Amino acid sequence: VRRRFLLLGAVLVAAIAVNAVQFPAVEAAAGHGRDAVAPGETADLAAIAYRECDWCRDRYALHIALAAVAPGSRVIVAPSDPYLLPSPYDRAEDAAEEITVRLLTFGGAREVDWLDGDGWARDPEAPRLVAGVDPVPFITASGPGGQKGAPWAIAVDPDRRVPDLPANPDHFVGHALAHGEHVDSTGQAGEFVLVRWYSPRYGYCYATGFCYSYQDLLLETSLLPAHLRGSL
Amino acid sequence: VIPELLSVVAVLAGGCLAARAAGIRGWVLPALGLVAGVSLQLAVGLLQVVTPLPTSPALTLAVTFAAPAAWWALRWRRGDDVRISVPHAAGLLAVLAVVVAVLRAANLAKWHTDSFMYLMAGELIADGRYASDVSTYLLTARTLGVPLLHAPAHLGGDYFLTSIHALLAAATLAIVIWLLRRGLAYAAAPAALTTFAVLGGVLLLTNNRFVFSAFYLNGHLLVALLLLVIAGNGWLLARGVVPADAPPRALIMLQAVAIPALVISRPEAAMLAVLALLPTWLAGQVRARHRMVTVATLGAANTVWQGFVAWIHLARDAPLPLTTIGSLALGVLLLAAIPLLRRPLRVWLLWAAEGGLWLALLGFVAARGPANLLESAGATAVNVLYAGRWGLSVLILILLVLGVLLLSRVPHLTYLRFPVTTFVPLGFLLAYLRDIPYRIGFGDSLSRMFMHVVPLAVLYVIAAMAAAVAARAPAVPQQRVPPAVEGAAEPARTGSAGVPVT
Repeated sequence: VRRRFLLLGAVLVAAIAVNAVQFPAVEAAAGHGRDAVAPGETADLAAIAYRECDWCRDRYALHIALAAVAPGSRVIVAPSDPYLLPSPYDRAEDAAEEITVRLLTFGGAREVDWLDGDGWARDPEAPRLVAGVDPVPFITASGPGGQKGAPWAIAVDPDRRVPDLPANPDHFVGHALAHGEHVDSTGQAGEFVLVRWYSPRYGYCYATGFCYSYQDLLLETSLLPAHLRGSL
Repeated sequence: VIPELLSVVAVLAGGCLAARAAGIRGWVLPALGLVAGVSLQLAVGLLQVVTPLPTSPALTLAVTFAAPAAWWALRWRRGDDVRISVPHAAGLLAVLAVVVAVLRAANLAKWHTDSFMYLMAGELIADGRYASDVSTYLLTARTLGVPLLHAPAHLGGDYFLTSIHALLAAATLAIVIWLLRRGLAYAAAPAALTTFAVLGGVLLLTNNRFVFSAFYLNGHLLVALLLLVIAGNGWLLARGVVPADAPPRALIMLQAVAIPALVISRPEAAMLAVLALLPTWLAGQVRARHRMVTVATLGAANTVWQGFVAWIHLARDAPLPLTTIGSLALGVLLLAAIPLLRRPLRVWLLWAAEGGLWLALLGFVAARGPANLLESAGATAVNVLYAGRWGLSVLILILLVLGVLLLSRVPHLTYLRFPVTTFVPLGFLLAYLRDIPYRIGFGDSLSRMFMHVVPLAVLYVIAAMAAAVAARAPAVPQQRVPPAVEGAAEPARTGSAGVPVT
């Protein structure tokens, strides 16, 4: 019995020794965020998503930006697009549900409404009018997207007070995260429409290898022509 | 720090009061109390989500603390011995405060892309818009357990509780050691038990992915702990051992509250629960009422949760996933099977169940071709060897389990062995059920799911080793459950009627 005890104990000790010896190597191979014991830089989930996780930045940067620009906003999702091309906004239920969840959580939206086939979508002028609005002068925040999400931008009314606006809209989210604007924003709630904006982001394909012929655009509804605003 | 501390204290204190009122005492009380508290929190949250009740985590925490406190006060007023040491409680609170403060300061949170989805679902719960706005993907793939676990973080403006997984890891370690010491209390020398308990604990603690799980925003460690408690307590009950610090009523209560929590913590968790409970249902030593309580709890919890999932799909005109239909059918079948549990099931059912899983896998291979299995097996082999970030830990554990299977002849260890060995065919079956093979890499589902059975596998190995160094075959004094606690005792049945009890 004693011999068996020593033998089995030695087996376990050997297993423990292997675990212990390989621990640092496993730790080094795992990489940041997937190592076991290295402290992180932040416990802010939005900051982790944006700074440490490429796929998460692709997915959630637009929404984090919205929470900083205009928390508590109403977002209207327009299912049509100017060229009637396949779109995640075309009521593909699973994609629509995910967009809603992201807007309500990371985006801090108060309400998300999906336009049905009436009004906007049937308005023969709607695509032209949306295409006719040039959001570029009003873009406050933007990002390049990537494998898991298209390039994106937020265009706001020039009268809106946007907190600590950096000169380059691509720097907005990083700036907002650094100053906590995504959790405690001084921005006011508003009303936005989420549209697929068929304006490719210049040079994007060359930088990342993922090409999109459009950008996801959150446009403050006050920028729309009155006729179109009325159909929302 | 304060909102997180209050949240964790409410869960731990509620659980400890429930455990104490059920009769648990001694050093294991905080560990089993945490299991009881988290399980209650998840069960209360489940009720809030599937009913028109508000889903505010403040209400969840209030009920999680107040209901056990009322039960404890009732027993205390009746004169029962449910005393709690005030210095120990104060010490525990102080330790908890330090743990929460240190972990928050260190930002010890580990993640991968699924983590964000769990925590978004948690925010929907905290905001009271889960039923109306949750996506069907979050509902079916991410389920409810982890979102409910972290929903109280929103009371403090955070997305997650930094400390809860570390506390679950500490409880897992403590419970592995406690189960070994209690399960083999009469079968091995105290020195051998202590030695193997310590070595088993260190084996877990030196496993890089176990330490990772202590800070990982996901549900794998939670599932592992609940599975450990369900299978481990079944082992103690079936052994007929009555630990001085945990009477049968307490073991049964812990199993019963852990079942709903497990069911809502992973999409495949109901199947895991069946596999963890099946040996208990076969055991003649376990009271009929207890067998029926566990199957009823599992059937009801699964039916309620899957019924809610189905209702959301139907309300949105979304097609019902086959997995939801299957899970719902499983829940109804379990409820229908309650009367069958009046008598212990035949022991051959255990072998039939394990063989049936392998046959089902072969059936899928025959029907859909071997590509899924081959790709999954290849990726899993690579993940076990290096890509899963396990180092050699899983490989070593597999070898230890195989060694015990080949060399150990201790029948009662079936209670611990069965959920571990059936995990293999179940894992590959799941790849067919979801129609996507496993892949190489840290983020692969099966590679992460290994954690579900790692603590139980370690317990199985060290229990077999401790039993092997007993001078003779284990001789357990058959202590009967006091009738005052459990009702009239059934005649003990061994051999062909059930899993042998010694």
